[in-house]
Amino acid sequence: MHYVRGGHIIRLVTPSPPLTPAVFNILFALATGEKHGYEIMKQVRRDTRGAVKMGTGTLYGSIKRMLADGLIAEAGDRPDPTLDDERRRYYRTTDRGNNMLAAELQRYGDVVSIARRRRLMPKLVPPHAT
Amino acid sequence: MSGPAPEHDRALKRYARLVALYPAAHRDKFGPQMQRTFEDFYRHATEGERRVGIGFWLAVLWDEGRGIVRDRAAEPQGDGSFYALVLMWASAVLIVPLIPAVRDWRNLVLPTAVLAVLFLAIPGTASILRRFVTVAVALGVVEGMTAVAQLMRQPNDLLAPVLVVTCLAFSIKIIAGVNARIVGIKDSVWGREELTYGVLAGLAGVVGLAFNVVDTSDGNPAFPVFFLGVVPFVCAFAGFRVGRRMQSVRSGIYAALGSLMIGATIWFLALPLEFEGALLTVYRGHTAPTLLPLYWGQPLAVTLFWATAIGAVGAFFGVESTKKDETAPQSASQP
Repeated sequence: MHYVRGGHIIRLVTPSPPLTPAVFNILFALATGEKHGYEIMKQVRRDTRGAVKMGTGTLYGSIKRMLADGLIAEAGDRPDPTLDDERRRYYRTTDRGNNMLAAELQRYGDVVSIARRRRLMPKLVPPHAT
Repeated sequence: MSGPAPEHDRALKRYARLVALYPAAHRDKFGPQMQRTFEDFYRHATEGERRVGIGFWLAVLWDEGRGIVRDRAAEPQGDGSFYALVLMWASAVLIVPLIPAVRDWRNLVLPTAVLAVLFLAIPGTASILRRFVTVAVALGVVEGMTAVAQLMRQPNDLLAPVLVVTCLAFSIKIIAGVNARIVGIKDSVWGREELTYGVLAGLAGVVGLAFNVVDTSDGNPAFPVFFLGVVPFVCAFAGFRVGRRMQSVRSGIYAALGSLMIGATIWFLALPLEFEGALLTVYRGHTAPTLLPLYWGQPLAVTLFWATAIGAVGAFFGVESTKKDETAPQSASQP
């Protein structure tokens, strides 16, 4: 997101307050494509290596607020309606949601680079080494 | 029938009850999706021979509980009916265990009045007029007996059992109404079955008492035969009928208990007439500690628990019989 000030184009890095962990995890999970509720739960678990186990109540409470904020939208077409349960709804990120996710990742990236400069970063162990 | 299927169905029903506690708008939009997602989640958790334990359900309860409270709090209009529901539950749950603990039995007038007000407010299909009539009759009996006792200027403990029965009857109907609201079924205040079988149970009890008046020896079998045999079976039949009609074992149990309460009121009114030949005289001079085992410990408690158990069996068979009725024509039409 950009805006013009004093004749200069300025990149707006932080257009909104930080996202809540649940909203961030859902946006992050949907960044790879549209998914239904249980797929989102599984993806969040995979992305966080099991650290975040999102329950159905938290998931749909977050989905409700994200729909209202325009961060996600219901996907129009289901992959295969004949094979799928009609109760399932698929969700995708909106442009606003993608921007928010990008801004949040930028914020994380900035924090990490500052931490590196200050030598605050712990030695990371690759996930496959353990 | 395969083993895990009923457990799976029970889990989904349990979860559906939790979803029913969300505000209507959330429930309508997300309820089916949530149930579908939970179904996937549960199936994954029970893959192979795996079973879920109390930890699984506590985690679900914690997660959904937070969601329900958050959504209720975020409701723009506050959804007053939910808070009224919680208030009624809390009041009923607080009052019921206190009833046997009240030292002065006349203090039961206040809980009776509170429960009567709650009874008027419970959700259900019965009209407000019918509820008012029920409350007016119950409180009229209590007030009338109080007035007569005051005229006689003598202590009268007959009020105690009548108040206990009234409190319990209101409590059962309140809990049944709230339960009906939570699980989304329709429930009436006093159904025809409850009234009919309640009167029958009361008359059977009176007959049982009459035998006891004629033969007061300890070996007289009429009393246990009627109170542990005939009366609970009459109540169980009410459970069967209501369980069949409502497709709910729990509604059947409530009906059995409701019938028992109606029957118990009739016995208590008949007791002094049978033993003393006059109303309001037999318990004169008794104190609360002696009344407790008399009314709560002996016939009522045993009959109550036995009628509940047998009412549950009746309700179960009532529900099952409907299932058989539903499957019979289909199987008959198949080649």
